Amino acid sequence: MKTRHLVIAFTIMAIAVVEYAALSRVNMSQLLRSVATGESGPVVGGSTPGPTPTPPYDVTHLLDPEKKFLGVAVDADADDPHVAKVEQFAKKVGKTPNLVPIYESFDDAFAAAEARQIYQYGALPVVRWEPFKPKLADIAAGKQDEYVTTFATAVRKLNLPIVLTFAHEMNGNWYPWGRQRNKPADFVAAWRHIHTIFAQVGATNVIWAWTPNVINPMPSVKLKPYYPGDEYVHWIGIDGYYTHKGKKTFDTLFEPTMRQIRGFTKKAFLLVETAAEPGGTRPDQIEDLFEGVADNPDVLGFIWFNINGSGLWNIDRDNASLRAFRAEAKNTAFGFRIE
Amino acid sequence: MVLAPERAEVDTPTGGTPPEPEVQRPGRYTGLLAVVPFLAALGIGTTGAGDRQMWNNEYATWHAATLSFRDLAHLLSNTDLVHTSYIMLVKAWIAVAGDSPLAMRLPSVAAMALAAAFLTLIGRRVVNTPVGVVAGLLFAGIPAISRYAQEARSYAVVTMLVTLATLLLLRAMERPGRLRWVLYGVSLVAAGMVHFASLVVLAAHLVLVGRETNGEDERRYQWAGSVGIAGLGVIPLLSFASRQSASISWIKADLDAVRNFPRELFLSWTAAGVVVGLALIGALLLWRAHPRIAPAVVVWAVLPIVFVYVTYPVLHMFLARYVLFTLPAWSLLAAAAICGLGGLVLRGRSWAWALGAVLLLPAFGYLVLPDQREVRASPVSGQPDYRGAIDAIRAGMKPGDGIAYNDVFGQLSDLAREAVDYEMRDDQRPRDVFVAVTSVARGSYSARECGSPGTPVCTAPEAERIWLISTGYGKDPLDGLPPERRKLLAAYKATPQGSFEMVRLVLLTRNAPAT
Repeated sequence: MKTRHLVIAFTIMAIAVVEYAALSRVNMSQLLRSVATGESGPVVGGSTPGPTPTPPYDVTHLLDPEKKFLGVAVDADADDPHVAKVEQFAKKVGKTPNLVPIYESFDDAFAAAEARQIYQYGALPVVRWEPFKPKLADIAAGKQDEYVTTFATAVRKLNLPIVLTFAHEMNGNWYPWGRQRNKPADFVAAWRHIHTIFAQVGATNVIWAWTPNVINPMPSVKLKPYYPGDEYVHWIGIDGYYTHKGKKTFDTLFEPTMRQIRGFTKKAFLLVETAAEPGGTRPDQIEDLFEGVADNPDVLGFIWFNINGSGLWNIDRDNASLRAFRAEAKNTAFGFRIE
Repeated sequence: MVLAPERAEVDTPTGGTPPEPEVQRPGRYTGLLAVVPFLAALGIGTTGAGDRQMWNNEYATWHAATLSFRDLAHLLSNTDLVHTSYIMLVKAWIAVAGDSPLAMRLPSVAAMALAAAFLTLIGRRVVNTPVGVVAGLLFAGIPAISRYAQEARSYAVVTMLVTLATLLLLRAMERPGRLRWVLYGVSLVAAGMVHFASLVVLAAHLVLVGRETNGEDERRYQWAGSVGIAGLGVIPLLSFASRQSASISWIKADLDAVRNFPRELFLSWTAAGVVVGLALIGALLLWRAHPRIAPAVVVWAVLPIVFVYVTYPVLHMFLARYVLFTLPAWSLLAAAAICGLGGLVLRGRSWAWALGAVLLLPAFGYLVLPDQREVRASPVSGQPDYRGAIDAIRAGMKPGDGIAYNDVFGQLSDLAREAVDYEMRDDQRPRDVFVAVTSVARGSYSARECGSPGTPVCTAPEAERIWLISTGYGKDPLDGLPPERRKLLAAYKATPQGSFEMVRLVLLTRNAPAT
């Protein structure tokens, strides 16, 4: 074999390797799908018609899964995507979370890229839509329709499942959309209006999670007036934290709220935000949380709020808590891959 | 000796000069005789090509080829990405020739005829012209060749491309030059793009090159280079298509499958017995006369079959039609026997080959006649006679009629619906009462009916009359329908409209409301 034969052979092999590697990064199926459904803008008479539309992702099989959801909320921003942080948490606790919240303000564009990354990771994105600026009454009246329609269209286009919570903890008084400035009727009207726009656009790949706060801080605020109705809601989300001053067991923290809600709906519960304040009791409370969720067939799962904000909820450096979390997460009842 | 080449082989000169090519250069114009098998294959292929009704796989070809490019992209994102090349070919052809069964099968008929011609040219180079012509004629007479000539799928094109690639290799080996190697490489890429399994023939090519050349021969490296660069052209398809899971888990490789393999490959026990038997003799005769070339032909005939069997656990490709491209090699070996046997009987006469050919070829043709008729039977054996039922619908249809399917046979492949889509493509169609999402919208070959998960519940049909195509196995044509649909159809009276092969047609007329 002459030298030039070897050179040519190696060149061909090198090109082959590079070619295969480069092409492996191209997901042809996704590319073809986006060609098929992507650039179909408004169909003007005479222009090439868009493709017959893909049916929306069917979320039915996710509504009542056999195993429990286990999620984690992480601090992310434009430079620091969710999935990387979620993966770090997953390594620490030995289980892959399958619910990942994305917090979006009511003037943000839909974070489709993040949602897609989360889905490809194997988790369900939970979009927490927060109307900081517009009033609920205005949203209900249609003043935000253009924005909502754009958002809904983007959700439809993504065509992957997402959970959507709008104006969570509406029974509290610490958010602009809270009870201190809005009537329950405003909230319900806004929720129904947004739901209708999503339905019109065909974005049925959304799991609607109505999410009040636990009633313990304000037991006299009744939840039924805030409930939009079974046709507008898939899941009942609950936000509730184990605090030093407040309730410290699953039953005392969540049961009263769940009992009240059972008075007007039979939908399943999901603890969309929960965590515990630091201290010697945190590991026990983590155990208590896991057991409470595991024992209650009405509860679909929970999302651990691992961000320091209103309290020091992050457990990344709390080894005792991590150990407890890890031990509890071994339970095979928790966690499954979202497909 | 009858199998002697037409020119004397060149002696290897002594000294340091490289040996002259040993591949034979046949007489100049004898290549034109390839027209004979070409016309034979063309004639045999066109006979009855338009009569047999289309079936499952051919409906799929039509479905894919008649989609808009956007819808096709959608379909390919889900399935059948490997068939893109063939689908594009058919798409272009349909635009010119229309989509009748005959029109859709013509490319395959032409491809098989070309394969016969190329085989003749190969035989001419490898042995001599008579063997080539006999091989081509024998090839044209095999029932499996007729069957896949009359099939709107890529098997004929693959066979033609593999035969062409082998011919181009022989030409490149005879007189190496850039153009000839480039043509060879391009034919390899084309074959690989249409069907991966065809590239197994490279083993035969390797043997050919290896035995024809020694280590010093430049042609070895030219071959390796051509194959390497051709590989670069096939890698994209490999990379993209490997993501799509193979939808071929129904293929079996058990004892039954192996025992029936010869029949599946030739589509005739007679042809299988005759050709394989003669091929065994022919291999021996060829090995004695042409020790350099015989191994390559044997490898071409045998290795792909062994390969798909051995790799079955991984590749699931143990299916006779995937190795249809071995039939040219089998024909060539058998032709060597036919001509060689004549030579054994009439020693030394140069026309001795004619004895074998004149006796054995017509006998072969006569013996496989029943099998030739069988491969042209309509519908394809084991498939329901959808066309018969649909013709009945067309005859008795009224505006406002609906249509429903109880396609237990077709199941997930949604065959009955595909059949109606095709057979009534130019007609007014009855309204599909139970469809929720069309196959085109789903980017799939099958539609979604109401009442499945994720689709709305079935509602009472508006139509007064509904045609029901049933391929169920129960006594009642409605057996096998989901209960909610049966309930909805209980408001109708069923009148049988005819029984066809594996299909029952029922006309449901709405009961008059109680006054």
